[in-house]
Amino acid sequence: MIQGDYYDGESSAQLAATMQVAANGSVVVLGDQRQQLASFHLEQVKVSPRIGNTARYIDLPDGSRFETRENDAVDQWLTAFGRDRSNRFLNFLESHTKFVLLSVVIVAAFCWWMVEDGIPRAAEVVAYQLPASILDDSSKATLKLLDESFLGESELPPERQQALQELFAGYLPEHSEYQFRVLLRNGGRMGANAFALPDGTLVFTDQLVELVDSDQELLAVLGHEIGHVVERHSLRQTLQGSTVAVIAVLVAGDVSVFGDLFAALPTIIVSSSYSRDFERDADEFAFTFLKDHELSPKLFANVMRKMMLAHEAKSEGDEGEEHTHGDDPDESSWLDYLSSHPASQERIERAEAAAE
Amino acid sequence: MTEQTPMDETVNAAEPSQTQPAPAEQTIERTSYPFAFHGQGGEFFKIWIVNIVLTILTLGIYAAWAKVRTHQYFYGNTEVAKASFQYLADPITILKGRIIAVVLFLAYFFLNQQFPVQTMLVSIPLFIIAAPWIINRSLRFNMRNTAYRNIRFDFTGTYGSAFCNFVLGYLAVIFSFGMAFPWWLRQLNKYVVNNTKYGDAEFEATLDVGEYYIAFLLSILISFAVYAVILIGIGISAIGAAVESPVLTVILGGVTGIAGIIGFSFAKAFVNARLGNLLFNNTKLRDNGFTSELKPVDLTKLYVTNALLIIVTLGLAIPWVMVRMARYRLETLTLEATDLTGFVSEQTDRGNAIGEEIGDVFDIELGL
Repeated sequence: MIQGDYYDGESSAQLAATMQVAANGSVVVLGDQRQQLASFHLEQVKVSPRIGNTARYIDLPDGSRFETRENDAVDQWLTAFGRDRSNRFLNFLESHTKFVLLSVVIVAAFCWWMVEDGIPRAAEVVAYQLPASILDDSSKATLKLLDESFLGESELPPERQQALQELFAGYLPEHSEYQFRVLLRNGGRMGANAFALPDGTLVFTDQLVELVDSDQELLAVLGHEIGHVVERHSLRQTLQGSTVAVIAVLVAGDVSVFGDLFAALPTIIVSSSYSRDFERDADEFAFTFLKDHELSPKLFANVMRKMMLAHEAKSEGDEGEEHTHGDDPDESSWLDYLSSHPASQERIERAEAAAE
Repeated sequence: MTEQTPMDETVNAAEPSQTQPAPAEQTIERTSYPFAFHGQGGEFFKIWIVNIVLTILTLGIYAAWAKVRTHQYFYGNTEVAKASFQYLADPITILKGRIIAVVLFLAYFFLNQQFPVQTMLVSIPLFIIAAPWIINRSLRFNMRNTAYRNIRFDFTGTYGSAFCNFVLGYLAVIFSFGMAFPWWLRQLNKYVVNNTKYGDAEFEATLDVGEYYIAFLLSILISFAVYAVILIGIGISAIGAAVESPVLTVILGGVTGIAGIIGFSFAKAFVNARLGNLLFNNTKLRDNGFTSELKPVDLTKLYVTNALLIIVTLGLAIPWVMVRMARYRLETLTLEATDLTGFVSEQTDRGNAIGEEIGDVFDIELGL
C-alpha cells in the first residue's frame, strides 16, 4: 500500500489517497474514506522515472494522477512487474558511487582531451579549409594599428635596408596563397622584436637588426615567422580560443553571478597554452627552414639569447631597482602559465638540440 | 513512512498570515504555506555527472534527456502545500527543436562565411521579426510543461505585445543610453507574469516602476562606494611598495581585492533581492499571493562562497551551487493561499520545443 495524494486532473483539489497493486497487476486508488477513486491495470498507467528522491507521479489513463514520495515502494512493484528498465538503469548509474567516480574520471579525461587534442585538431582542419584571404583585412588593420601606436619609420640607412631586403628576398618562399614581404620598422617601446601577420607580411624592428651579430641570425627569425604564416597560427588561435570561450560561457553561464569571470579565466589560461604550442611549432619550422638552407639552428639559439638579455636589460631600465630582489631568469614562476611564449631558456635548448 | 516529515513540516508551519496588509475590505482568511526545496547537492551531483557523461558518449544527443532530468529534479524537489511541481516536457520534442536550431545556426554560420554582407542584411531583420515569436514559444513550452496538482500552467502572450516589450523596449533602452533599463526590466517582468496562467486562473503582477529605479540607483551607489574603497585600498597598498616590502604590498592588495569582490557581490545581491521580493510580493493568483524575503546579505554570502567553491573544485561544485541557490530562493518564499482547490484545467496541447530550443541556441536570456 502506497500513501500519497490523488488529483483528478480537472481541478487542483488534493485528496489524500492510497494506491494498491494486486498480484494480477490491477491498480486501485482509494480515498481516505476507502472510496474507490480509480481502478486500472498496471499496463495502462505511466510511472514517472525515479530522479533522486523527488516525488513520483503515476499517471492514470483518465487524466488523473497519483503523487507519492514512497519511491522505494514504487520501485519495488515496478521491479516485480518488470517495468521501466531504461529509467532504472539511469537510477542505477546515479546511485552507485563507483559509476559516479568513473563518470568524473571520464568527464575530466574528456575535457583534457578536448583542450589538448580535440579542439586544436578540429581547428587545424577548419583553418586549412578556409581561404587564406580570410584574414587579409585583419592583417591590414593590425599593421595599421601597430604603425599608429607602437612602430615608427625605420631609421636604418637606406643602403642597409636595401641589402637586408635583397638578403631576405632569396629566402622568402614563393607561395600561391600568401604574399610574403618583409617590412622594417622602428620598434620604439617594443624593442628588438619581429612578428608575422597572417597575409604573409613579416615585420622586423631596427632594434632586432642592430642586436644580431650576423644577418644569418635574422634568417632564423625569418624562418620562425614564416612558420607562423604557412601553418596558419593566427587563424587556428582564433578558432581555438573562440571555441574554448563559447564552451566556457555555455558551462559557466547560468551558474553564478561570476559567470563572466568563470568563462574568462579558463579561456585566458587555455588560450595562452595554445599560443605557447604555436610558438614551439614555429620554432620547429625555423629549425627545418635553416637546415633546408644549409644553415645551423644554432643561429636561432644565438638570436634568442641576445633577445633575452636585451629584454631583461630593458625591463630593468624601465622598473628601476625592483628587479635586484633576485629575479633569476632561469627561475620559472607560476606566472609562466599565463605567458604566451615558452620560457626562452627552453627554446634555446631545443635549438641547440636541433643543431646536433 | 519517513517521507512524511517534510510534508508535516509544511502543514504544521501553516498559520494565518498577518504579513500582507490586504487591500481595504478583504477579510478572507489566508493560510501561509512556505515553499520547501528537498534537493541535496550530493544527490544532484550524481545526476549531473551521469548526464554529462551520457551527453559526451552520445555526442550531444542525450543533452535533451539530461535537460529534462535536471528540470525534473529541481521541479520535483520544490514543494508547497504538500504537493510538488512536475516537469512534463518530452525529450524527443526538445531534441527535434535542438536539431532545427543547430541546422539554422550552421546555415547562418556558413552563409555568413560566404556572403557576409547579404547574410547580415537578411538575418538581422529576420531575427528581429522572429525573436518575439521564439520567446513566446519558449515561454509557452515551459509553462505548459509545468504542472502542480495535476493542473498545468500556460502562457498566453501575443506576438504584438512580445514585439513591443522585447524589441521596442530594447530600442528604448539603447536610445536612452540605458536610462530606461529599470523600466524595461519591469515591462518584461510584467509581460511574463501577467500572461502566465495556472489552470483557468491568470497571474497578475502590479509592479511600481519607481521601485525598480530605486533598486538600481541604490545598487549603483553601493558600487560607487566599493570603487572608492578599492581606490583607497590601492593607495594604502602603495605604502607597501614605498617601504619596499613586497609582503606588505601583497597583503594589502589582496585585502583590497577581496573587499572589492565582496562589495560588488553585495551590489548585485542587493538589486536581485530587492527586485525578487518586489516581483513576488506584488504577484497574485486570484486571491492567493506570495511573500518573498530574500536578504541581500544572505545572497552575498551565497554568491561569494559559490564562486570560491567552483574555483577551488574546478567546477565540480556546480551541482551544489545550483542546489544551494534553489534552496535559498525557495526557503524565503511563502505562498499566502486563500483557496488552492478551485483551479480548473483548461488545455491539453503541450506546445512544442522549437521556440524554446532556438532561444537556447541563440542565447536569449529570460530570467525571472
